[in-house]
Amino acid sequence: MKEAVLEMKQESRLKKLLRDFGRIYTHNALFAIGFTICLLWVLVAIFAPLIAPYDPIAQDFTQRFAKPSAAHLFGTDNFGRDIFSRVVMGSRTSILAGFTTVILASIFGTIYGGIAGYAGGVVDDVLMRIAEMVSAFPALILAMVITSALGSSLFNTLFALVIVSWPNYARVVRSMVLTIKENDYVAAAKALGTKRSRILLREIIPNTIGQVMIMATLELGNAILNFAGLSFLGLGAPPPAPEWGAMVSDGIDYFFNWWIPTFPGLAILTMSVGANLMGDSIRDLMDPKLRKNF
Amino acid sequence: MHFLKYMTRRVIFLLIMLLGVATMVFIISHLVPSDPVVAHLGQRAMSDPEIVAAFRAKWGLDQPLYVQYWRYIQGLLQGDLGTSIRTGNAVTADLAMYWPATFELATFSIILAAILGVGSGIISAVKRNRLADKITRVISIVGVSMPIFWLSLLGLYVFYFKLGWAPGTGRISPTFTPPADVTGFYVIDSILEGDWAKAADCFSHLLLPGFVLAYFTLGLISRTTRSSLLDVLNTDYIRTARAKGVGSGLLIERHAMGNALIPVLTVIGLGFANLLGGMVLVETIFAWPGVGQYAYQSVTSLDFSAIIGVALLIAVIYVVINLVIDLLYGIIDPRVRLQ
Repeated sequence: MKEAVLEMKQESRLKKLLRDFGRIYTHNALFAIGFTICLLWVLVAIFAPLIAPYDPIAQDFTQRFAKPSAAHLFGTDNFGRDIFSRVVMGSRTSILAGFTTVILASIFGTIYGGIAGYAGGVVDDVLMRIAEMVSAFPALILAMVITSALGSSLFNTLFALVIVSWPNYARVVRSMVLTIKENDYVAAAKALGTKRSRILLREIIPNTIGQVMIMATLELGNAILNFAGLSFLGLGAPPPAPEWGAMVSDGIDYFFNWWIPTFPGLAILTMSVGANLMGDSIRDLMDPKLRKNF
Repeated sequence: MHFLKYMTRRVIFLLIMLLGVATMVFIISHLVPSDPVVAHLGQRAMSDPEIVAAFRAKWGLDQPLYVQYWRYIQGLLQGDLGTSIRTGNAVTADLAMYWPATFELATFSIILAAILGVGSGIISAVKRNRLADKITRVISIVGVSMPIFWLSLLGLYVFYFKLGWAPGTGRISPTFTPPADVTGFYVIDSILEGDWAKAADCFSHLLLPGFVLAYFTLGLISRTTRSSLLDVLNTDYIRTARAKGVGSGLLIERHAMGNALIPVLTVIGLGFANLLGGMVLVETIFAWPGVGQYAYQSVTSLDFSAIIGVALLIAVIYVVINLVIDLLYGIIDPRVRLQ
């Protein structure tokens, strides 16, 4: 009986989520565009091997610097590699980087901010000062320092991106926790002798998740851009892996062949525009002050 | 008296923060597998243990970590950031040399971004939900999503290579000699020399990288101006002013903008700090001899002293900007007390 009730509750929650989503999608054009762009890129990434007509790292020196044509939609680069195939395969790395960064940073930031806000006092002060120090750097510069120190590999680049992006979540979650912990149900849980860690994880943090998810959507575009920037500087996965930022940097040496940097750059731009359109619209919808304007 | 106390507290906080930042960067750059010796000595030299040992001894790399840290902090307190392994100069001297170029470009682009961003934000708020608003919004979202290194390359391709409107890379054309160093801003120094042709040349070099950097920040400023102005326009006192027949131009300028400016200022300050991050990419592409390029080169050659130097410089700027913004709050809005 209890399980059935629980199931019903969960189903209706899912239904409500879907209904909300449907309403946003049909009523907010910018959100719909952003979501569609992101969905398309995810599909491209999933079916990448089926879409790419050539091997993204196969070199063909008879075909160097071919202009865009029917055989090579986006042309070829200095090794005669098909740029279209490389852009398509590169979507996997970018999406992986974007989502991994956002998910890991939001989890770490939420727990960190939760502890700081719930503990209060000296713990709060020390933890938040540390977070402030990390955010006193422009993200790209700190990520650059970390990646170069650890050596460039996909894993290290992602690690660096997580390190630079968690303080944002921590700050927001902490300030939310400060008000949430004053609620009666928290006092009740405390009175029942519930362990502090359990109160934090089960009673407090779940209330911050909505806000954290909005932030994560907003941060997705940033993560993709920073990842592209690092791989542009040669601090991503080592070549010849197809990475959009690194492909744009090939364009510096072959400046006159405009197609070499243009298409991978467009890929970065569209994906981060998609993420930002989505995040921006959701934030406005959730902000009661702005809501009536849309 | 109140003000003095406030400033003392802020400065003490700044110092603690800097010590923390220095420690953090020191830890990151020393507890890692990468070895600066490998980055600086060639393969041949690496195979000779004597050269390697001499190199380590020369730069103090053979000392235990806490000794290196202690020496580093001692140096810091005396204003010594150490010596760059790559350039062989004192890091402070290097930074002093590269900083003006970065500062000139950053100042130029933040002014551009502030003017365009606040302007478009006001239009957006006044013409809310109409075409002008939607266009501004899309432009600013594209701006925030723009990979600036790509925009820099495209800009150079179109305006320099195809159209020939923009000058090439660098701060000044090779036909001119750089102006004598007074302010460090080439444009201003050239004017001080009375050489208007040179000033124009330097200014034209600023335009393309300046706009690229500004576009990135503009979106943020525009969005903040819009939402903050909308908030203020919904308040009672504005409704009263409207009812009294104050025209909409004057209404925005006299009544609303003052209150709407506070969040905008914060974003402009943050934007300036963000610009410094974008600098690394833009300076590398435009061969702009600034701190960004210096940072990139130091990072690729694992030049730790230089890396920490750049990091400290940027952290100082960040904290100082925040302080200046906080002080400006008090000027714009007398209700804000310095505490």
